[in-house]
Amino acid sequence: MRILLYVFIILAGALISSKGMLNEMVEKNLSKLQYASLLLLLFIMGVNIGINDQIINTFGKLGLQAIVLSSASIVLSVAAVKLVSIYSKYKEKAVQQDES
Amino acid sequence: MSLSIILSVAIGIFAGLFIFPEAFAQNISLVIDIGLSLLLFFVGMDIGRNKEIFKQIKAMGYRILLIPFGVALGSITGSVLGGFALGLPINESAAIGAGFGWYTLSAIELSKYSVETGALAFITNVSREVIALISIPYIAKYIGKLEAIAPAGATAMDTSLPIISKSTDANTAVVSFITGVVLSTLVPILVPILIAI
Repeated sequence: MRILLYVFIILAGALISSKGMLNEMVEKNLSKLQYASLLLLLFIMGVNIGINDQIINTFGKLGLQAIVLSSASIVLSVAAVKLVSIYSKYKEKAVQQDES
Repeated sequence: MSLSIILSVAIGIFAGLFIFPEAFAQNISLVIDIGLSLLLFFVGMDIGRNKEIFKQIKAMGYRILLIPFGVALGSITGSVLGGFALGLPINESAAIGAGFGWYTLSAIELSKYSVETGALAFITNVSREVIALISIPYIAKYIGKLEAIAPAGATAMDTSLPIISKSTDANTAVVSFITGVVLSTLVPILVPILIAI
């Protein structure tokens, strides 16, 4: 259900801007507005972590293990996507060469 | 940009710890949902302004799906290797890694197996989200745009999407959303399978 809501919101934004329904004022300041809301959301997400006793208590006990597991996951997933992106670029080149 | 992102998260955690009253916790997920919806609306606006986007996505074809599978494989392999260093059983570390940053669901699933593993899954995936938010702008700048989707895992379609969109471009934002949807679908399937190994 949540996925559908997100798709709907993103499509609504895309439709409004692709039809040129934004006024110049908003268009000009969109990037600043976006950035300000992003920082505010990150702040609130931080509050959500800090206010949760369960997170803070568990982090005290299991924090080191959690950081080892999550960092290793992140490093290897970035490496895997690097491989995918190298393969993707290689395939794109091959297609372009075939066409020319 | 990256420093202000780190500061926002850090000041937020500090404020949550010492300033905001406990009662605020009940309303906070609604505030996050509203903020997130607003940001996703902005991401949509960026996508709508890029006329070439569907052509670019079409050109990528099936290779788009290689990204979530790469992230899934990398995340599980990474946590198995990390778990090996910590002396954890393979099934536990693999299942924790298959949470892909979706801390509520992976923790609930794994609490059925053991409270301790549920707690570790919870805190590992919370850490993943925080590290993702902080590292995405740097990865986008120094490694690559598509690679910047990887740390986000399942959150590439929601909480991490605004940062990915801001640090990369509209095309990557669409790939990121698709990646997040595929990974979110995989979490409830893979976590129970891996823990049963």
